[in-house]
Amino acid sequence: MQEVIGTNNRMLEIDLTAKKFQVTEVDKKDRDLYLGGKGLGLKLLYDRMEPGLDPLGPDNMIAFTMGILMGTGAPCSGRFEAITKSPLTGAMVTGTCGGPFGMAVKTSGWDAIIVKGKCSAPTYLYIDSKGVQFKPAKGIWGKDTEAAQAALLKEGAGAIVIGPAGENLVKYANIASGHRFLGRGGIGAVMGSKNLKGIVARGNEFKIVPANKKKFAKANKRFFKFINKNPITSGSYRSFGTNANVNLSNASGILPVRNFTGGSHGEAHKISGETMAERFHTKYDTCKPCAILCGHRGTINGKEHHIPEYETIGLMGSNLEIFDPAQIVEWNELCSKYGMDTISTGGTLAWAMEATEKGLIKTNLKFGSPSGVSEMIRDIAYRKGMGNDLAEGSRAASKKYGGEDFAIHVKGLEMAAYDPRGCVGHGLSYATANRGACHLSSVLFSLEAYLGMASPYATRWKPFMVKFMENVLSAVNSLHICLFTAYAVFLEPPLIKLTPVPLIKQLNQNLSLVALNLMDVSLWPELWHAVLGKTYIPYLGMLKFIKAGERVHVLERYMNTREGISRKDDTLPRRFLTEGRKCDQKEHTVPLEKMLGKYYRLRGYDANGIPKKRTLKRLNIAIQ
Amino acid sequence: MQIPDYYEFLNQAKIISGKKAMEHIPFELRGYDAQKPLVVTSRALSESGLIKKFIGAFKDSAVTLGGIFNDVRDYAGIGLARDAAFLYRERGCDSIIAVGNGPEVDVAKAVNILVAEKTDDLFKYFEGTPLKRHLKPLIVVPACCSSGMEFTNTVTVDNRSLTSNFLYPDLAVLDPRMTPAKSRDCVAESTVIAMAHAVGAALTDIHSPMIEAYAHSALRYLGLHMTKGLKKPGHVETSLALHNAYALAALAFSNAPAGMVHLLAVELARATDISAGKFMRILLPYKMAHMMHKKMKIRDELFLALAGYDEYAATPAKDRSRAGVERVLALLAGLKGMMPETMKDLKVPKYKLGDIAKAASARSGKRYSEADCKTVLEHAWEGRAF
Repeated sequence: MQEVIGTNNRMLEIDLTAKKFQVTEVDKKDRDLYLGGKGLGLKLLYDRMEPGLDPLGPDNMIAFTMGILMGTGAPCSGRFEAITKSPLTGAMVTGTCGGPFGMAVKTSGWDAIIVKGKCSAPTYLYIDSKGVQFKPAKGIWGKDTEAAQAALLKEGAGAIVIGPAGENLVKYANIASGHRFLGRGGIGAVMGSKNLKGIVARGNEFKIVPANKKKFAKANKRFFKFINKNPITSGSYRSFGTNANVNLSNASGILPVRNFTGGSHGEAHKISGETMAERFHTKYDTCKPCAILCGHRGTINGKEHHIPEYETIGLMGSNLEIFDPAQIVEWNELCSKYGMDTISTGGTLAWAMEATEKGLIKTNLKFGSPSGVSEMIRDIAYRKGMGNDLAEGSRAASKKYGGEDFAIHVKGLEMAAYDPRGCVGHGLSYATANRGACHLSSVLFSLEAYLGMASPYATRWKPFMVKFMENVLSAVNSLHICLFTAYAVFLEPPLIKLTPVPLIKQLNQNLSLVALNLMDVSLWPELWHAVLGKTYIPYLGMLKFIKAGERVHVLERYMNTREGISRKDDTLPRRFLTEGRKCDQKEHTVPLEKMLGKYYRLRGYDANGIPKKRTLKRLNIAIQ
Repeated sequence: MQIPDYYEFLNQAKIISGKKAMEHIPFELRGYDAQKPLVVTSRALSESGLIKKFIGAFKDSAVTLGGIFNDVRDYAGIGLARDAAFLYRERGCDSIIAVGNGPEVDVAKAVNILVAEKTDDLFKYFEGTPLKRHLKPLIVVPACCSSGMEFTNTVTVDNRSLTSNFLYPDLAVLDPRMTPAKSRDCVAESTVIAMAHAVGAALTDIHSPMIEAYAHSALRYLGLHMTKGLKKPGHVETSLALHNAYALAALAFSNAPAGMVHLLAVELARATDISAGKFMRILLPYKMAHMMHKKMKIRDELFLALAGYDEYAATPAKDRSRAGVERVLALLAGLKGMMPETMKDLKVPKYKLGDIAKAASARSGKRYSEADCKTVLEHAWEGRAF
């Protein structure tokens, strides 16, 4: 097998309309400035896509980027990124995913794939080191994600496919890679609009070798040590998966209940990771390579099933007032087969339940009742009856039928399973996140609600914390490596580990700049430098890495503002701004306006939320 | 002036405008045999101190305010209406006073249906069940950024609209303590909405001297007071004059079929979350240009309303139509720098224009063809002349 030292630096640009492809090189300057993964993907599309185009039209492009760490054996690095313009939000969407596809593409010799145009008939692509073959997908069009993948995987080591939801242009259709998904924002619908059922990559043609093996091995060793020491990465997530969050969220009042009208529920323990592990005898079922092992399978009635992630449990369980884990497992698998994002599906179903209750629409959906939910999921995937309207997402449905005040989305993207009234900094993050109500933009809920490292209701330093976390996580998503490694990287270095949590909380509340500087995130850039054989200068290298993350975040924001996104979109559903909850001793809402102006100033945006010219210049972003 | 064949016109609201107008409310309530009103307003108005001024007007009266429901924000939803109706019933209220603008008045009208019809099912009236009787006394007190829609016979709840003559307010109170705007942008937006409604009503196919009288008076008032209102948004007399213009325009609008500019702006606002007023500013010149391009009749009276008798008489008859359009454009030019001029400036996605044109055409009952709607939209998007 041939060796690739560092990175392939090659990418494929595929025109589906013309059935042609070309091989191009990744610009070295772009690699330095944007790292890879999410950052590089955004830059590639920034250079190629006009603003204002129809996300479901042939001019929209999807970039799949593999990241520098993919294939090197770095922990939790088996992830790739997809970037496109979202049909759900009208803004840019980036998604990250495990599964075998990324590794197969990278070991076929490609760092990135850009797809544009539209096939005249259903097609799938076969990719190997020589290039691309366009193959008719007649036999697999209409098949669910499992069947379609099974067919494609006969030809290669990894594949991505869409299900019927993607084919039917459901606005939150996703893309499957193994049993992992590029979940949010309707990337699957973009593939469907191009008549592209899937892509299969041959893989195993190249071996990826870090340029500086010694330094890479040293950093890698330290990384594994941190992961195996951290109580979240080696404890709760490893034992119970992300569902370990259920009890934490319930205790801290951020679990979504009844379309986000409540933050905790007496029956939540029934759907917790701990309960599922015991009841379904769960075992690992993870991405490769993974050191955390958060994915699980379990046995229900003698049959093996995937255990849903926390977001699915929150949105399709407590948020619908359903506390039967087997039921949620069934809906999770339905969504997986049809290829639909469980967060948006759950959020939209919750809206439909409340809209039905309030007399805005007529369905048989009801909070607390599983009746009619499976049928509605199918109707959404196939766009039948009311399912056709719900397939547009809660924003569009509420614009058509009313109920905008309880459509729980930001910028059109349904909210993840953390109620911001119990973690107001995370509320700011939801409002300003580039892709909409995204929980992964800053993950501030973990500091505010889970770890006790920041007051959940204080606002003073939250804009600063959101900005810092957004920058770091954008950089992490550009390596690419699993975000869950952040628990280990942030919390295991000696300085932060030895500082008492109450002191960190006080510092975060009163002097966040000091607290965040206690956090040593150097492990990530050390790996990146080692793979590429670049010299890593301690501390400065870390600052450069965080600045690259800032560049990625601001570029995405700038691209979004070209699509019309501005301050008016950086808001939260009315429910969080005006309604208190009974679960709180003292009612809380999110004081968003108090934080937003300061956040803009810190970010270098104008009062309308548009990046200023001098901000773009400082970050080397060329103005188009 | 054309002799009308047939028309209908209704303005049910009594209007009280001027100094200490709010002090008349207790007396007027007695006339409706009511003495315990529920006040529906927003938190923003409460925090701005305007509600304090409003309450002050009742201090020497025997009227007891049954409750103040101030949870309304920028959206009128059924949840709010039910909460307010619950408060109304709980406190034994007998009338409703809406203080504010669109959403506050919409919630108040929805509450009125719920309590007067003794139902929780509001939407059956939106789906065909007619309102058949007078509702509870409803008083509106427009405040700050009003656009005149408070005076109309329409209620919009959860993006659904219902029009019924029983939805006209019984009394509208224009008090100069409540009308001054907080910003130029606010005046600009209210003014342009009123202008679009007045022009739309003035150019409608229905020849009604009543509609024309209201629309022309509205335009005359706007023409006279807009510039000063934009310069000094807080000016008491000017803001009162402008609010009178907004009321006149809205009443003309209520009695005329909705114009293309209104229909398109509402659909655009729905698709983009940008306010309809901004789109009306952009669309109005293009709609008029489109009419001229298609050689549709633009009545000379538009010019008369905006220029006055002397100038009208001094202008040759063949030029009056164009001169009317030019006057409207000149008024809109006064908004330069305050409001965007093309949809491209607002970053409206061009690919959405087809759907918007289709929806607006359908809403007009096909009075405006989809093709015409799209033509106007496309020109406005590109900033391209006809």
